[in-house]
Amino acid sequence: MFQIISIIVFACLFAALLVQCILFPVVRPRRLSPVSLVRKCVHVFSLLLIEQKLTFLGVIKKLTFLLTAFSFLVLAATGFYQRLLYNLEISGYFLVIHVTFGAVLAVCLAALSLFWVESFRFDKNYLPRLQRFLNIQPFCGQPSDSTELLRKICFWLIFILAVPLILSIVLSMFKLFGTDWQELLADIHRYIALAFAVIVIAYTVLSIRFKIKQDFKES
Amino acid sequence: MKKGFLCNSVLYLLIFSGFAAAGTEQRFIGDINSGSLTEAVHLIPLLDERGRKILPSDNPLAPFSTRATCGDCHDYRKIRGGWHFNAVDPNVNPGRPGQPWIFADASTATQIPVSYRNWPGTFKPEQLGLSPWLFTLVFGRQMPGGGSGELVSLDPDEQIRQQLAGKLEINCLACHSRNSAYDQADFADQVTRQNWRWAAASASEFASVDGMVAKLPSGYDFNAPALMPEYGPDAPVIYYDKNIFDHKNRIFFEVSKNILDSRCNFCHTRNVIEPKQSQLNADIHLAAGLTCVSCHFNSIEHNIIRSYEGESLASSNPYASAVSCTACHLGDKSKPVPSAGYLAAPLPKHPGIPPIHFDKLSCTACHSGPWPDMQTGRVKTSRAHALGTYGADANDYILPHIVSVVFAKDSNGKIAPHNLLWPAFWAVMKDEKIEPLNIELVRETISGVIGEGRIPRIDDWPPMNDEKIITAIKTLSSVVTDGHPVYICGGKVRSLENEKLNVFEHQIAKPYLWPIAHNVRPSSQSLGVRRCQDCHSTDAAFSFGDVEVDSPLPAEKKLNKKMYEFQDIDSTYYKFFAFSFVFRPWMKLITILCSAILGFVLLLYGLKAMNRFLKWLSEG
Repeated sequence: MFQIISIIVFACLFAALLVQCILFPVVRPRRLSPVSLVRKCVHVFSLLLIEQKLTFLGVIKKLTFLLTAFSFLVLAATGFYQRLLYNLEISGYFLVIHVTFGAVLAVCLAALSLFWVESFRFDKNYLPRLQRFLNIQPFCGQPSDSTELLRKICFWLIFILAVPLILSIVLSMFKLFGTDWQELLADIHRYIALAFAVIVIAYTVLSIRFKIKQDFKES
Repeated sequence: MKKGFLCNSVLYLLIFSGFAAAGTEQRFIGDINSGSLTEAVHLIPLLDERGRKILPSDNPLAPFSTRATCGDCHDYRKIRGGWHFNAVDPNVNPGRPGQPWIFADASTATQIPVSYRNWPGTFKPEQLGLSPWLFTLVFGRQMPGGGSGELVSLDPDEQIRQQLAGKLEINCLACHSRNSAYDQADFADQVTRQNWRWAAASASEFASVDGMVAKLPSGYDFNAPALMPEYGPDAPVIYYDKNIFDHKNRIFFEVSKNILDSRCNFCHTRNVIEPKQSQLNADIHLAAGLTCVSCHFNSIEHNIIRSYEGESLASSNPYASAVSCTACHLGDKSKPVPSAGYLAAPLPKHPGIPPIHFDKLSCTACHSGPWPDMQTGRVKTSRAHALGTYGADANDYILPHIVSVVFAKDSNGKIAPHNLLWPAFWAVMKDEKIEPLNIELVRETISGVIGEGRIPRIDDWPPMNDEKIITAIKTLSSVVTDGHPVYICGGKVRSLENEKLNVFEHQIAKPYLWPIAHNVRPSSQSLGVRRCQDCHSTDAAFSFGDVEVDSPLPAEKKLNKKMYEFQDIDSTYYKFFAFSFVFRPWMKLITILCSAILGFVLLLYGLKAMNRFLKWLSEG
C-alpha cells in the first residue's frame, strides 16, 4: 500500500514541479538553448558553494545546510529505495546508514531551526494575504512574493513534520510500546517521511527559483 | 425367462450390496465420539495375534496383540497412518526437518543421520545397508512400534528371523498407559532381544516375559519345541498376573487419551550437557500446568500436531494451523472470532522490539533452548543416546555428539535455534557422487584399523589421525570395487590421492541441523529482555558465538565456525550493525534532545504568531 501511495505521490510531485517550471519560468523570456541550460545548472551548483563574503557564522550555517541536504538525500535514498522498487522493509546496510544519517539530520535540523527561524517569520508584509485569505477586509497594499510565501510555508512544515518524524522512530526504540503500537509508529514514520520528503523537495525547488530570481534581479 | 430374471436379480443384488459395503467405511466403536468428556473404561479381553481370546488357563500362554486387542474397537489401519508410524510411507509429506535417527559406531568413527523421511541431509536406511529388520533392531528401542517393525524384509534370512520375532506392532500402551508400573525400558529390551511379538505385553504391568528369540536358531519351531530341546530355555515364555482377570476373563487397561508427559519423554527427552544450569528450567508450558498433548494432539488418525509455523501446508490434521506459538499467543486476526489465548496463552506485548524481528526470527529464537553461550554446548537425546533404556551409557562424551544451540536459518527462512550433527562416515566416491558405504561392510573391514590403540572411552571418538584414515581407505579399497572410498568428517571429505589425503568440501559433508522448540524459557529469560545487546553486540553469542566442529580428528576440533555462518548473513555487515549499538543510547539521547529543541522553537514561534494574530484581531 505504502509503495503505491509513495509512487503516486512522487509522480504527482515531480509532474507538478515540471508543469510549474514550464508554465511559470523564473526568468522571462524562457531560454532553452543548450548554453543557457548549462549556465542554469552551473548557477544551481554554485548555490551550493560557500561564498567568500560569508562570516564564520555564515559558513557554519551554510555547512549545516549542506550537511542537512546531504543527510536528507541519503535518508531518502536508503529509506525509499527498497520500499519503492521491491516493496521491502529497510534492512541490511541501508538500515545502518539510514539510522546513522537519521541522527545527523536531527542534529542539523535542530541547528537550522536556531539559525534560520527568525528569517522565515511571516512579517507584516504577509498581512494583506491573510486579510484576503480570511476575507475580513478588502485586499489592499503590496502583496508579498508568492514563491517566497510558499517557501516559508514549506520551511515551517519541514520543522513541524520533523518532530513526529524523529519521535515516531526514537520512541519505538524504548521499551514503551508493544507490537501493535510499534507497527503504528512505523507507519507514522513512513507516511510522515513521505510528506517530509515531498515538502523538502518542494522547498528546494522553490528556494532555487527564489535564488535565481533574486540573482537575476541583482544582475 | 423367470429363471433368467431371478439370476439377474441375484447378480445385481450382489453387485449393489458389494458397492454398498465398499462405500461404507467401517466405524469402530472406540472411534465414535459420543461427545462425553468422560474417559472410557477399558475392561476388555486380551486377544492374541490371531484374534483368539487369551484365558489365564491357556497353556502355553500367548502374548496379547495390540493390533487384535485394541484394534477390536479402534481402527488400527487408520492409526498406522499417524505421524509416529508413517515414516516408512514415501507418500507422506515429511514436513519441516526433524530429529533423525543417528547411527553411531565408535569402532568405525561413524555418526550419520538416518531417516525414512525425505529430510535433506539425512540418509535412507537402505543407503547404509539397514533393512527394516536391522533398522528396527537398532532403533526400535525408542519406537512406539509399527512403522519399520511391521515391514517384511526382502532378505529371506531376515524373513525367517521376523517369523520368529513376530511383528513389532504399534504398542498403544507406549503412549496411552497411565500405569506407573508400565515399563517402556522393558519394551526397548524386548526389541533388542528380538522378542517383538512379546514386547508390548512384557512392558505392561500385568505380564512378564522370559527368553530371547535372538538366541534361537533360524530353524526353531515354536509349535514343535521338542525338536530342539536345547533351546527350550531361550524360547520366550509369557506369564500373566492371574489376579487381574475378572470373572469374564477381561482385563482392566489403565489407558487414557490424556498422555502422561513421562510417556513422551521416554523418546523425546533432550538433556543439555552444557550449560548444566539450563536443566533446572522446566519448559514454561509444563510449569504452567500444560502437558505435551495440550499442544501436540491428534484424533484417531494419530496425525499428531508438531506445532510449528506453516505445518498446515504439510499436515492433514485440520488443527495443524491452530496450535503453534503464534496461533495460541497472537491468534489469527483475519478470523471472525478471537482465536488468541488458547489454553490461557498470554498475549505478548514485546515492548521495544521492532516488528521486523518477527519477520526474521522464529519465536523460538528468543524463547527456546538454553540461553546461548559463546561456545556451543552439547545435548543428549533419548533417541540418539538411548536414554532411559537398560544399560544406557550415562557418560556425557558418548557418540553421537549433538551440538546445541545453533542459531541457523530454518526451512522457512527465519533464524531459529537448532541442534546440529556433523556427519562422520565412510563412503564411496564415483564421478563426484558420494554415497555412504554399507555400515556392516565398513565395520567388518576397518574396525580393527580404527580401534588400534584405543583409550578406554569406548563410546567416544577413537583416536584418529591422517595415517589411520589412509590405512582405512586402503583397506576399504580392497572391498570396494566401484568407485574409491572416502571418509567424511568435520564438514569435509577426505580421499586418497597419490598416497596423500586430499581434503575438500562437499554438500554431503555439511552438518545436519534440526530446529528445537523446547524447553521454552519464561519471558523474563528471553533473548533481548535485558537490552538489544543480548543479540546486537560484537560479543553476542547469538551471532558471534563459536559453533563446535565435531570431528574425530583432534586437529579439527579447534576449527570452530561462527554462528553467523549458519544465518546466511554478511559477517561484516553484522559486525558493523552490532557495533552501531554501542552508540545507540547516545543517538537516542541526542535525537530526543534535537526533537525537544525543534519543539521548543516551534512552540516559541507559534506562541509569538498567536500573540501577533490576536493583537491584530483586537486592533480590528
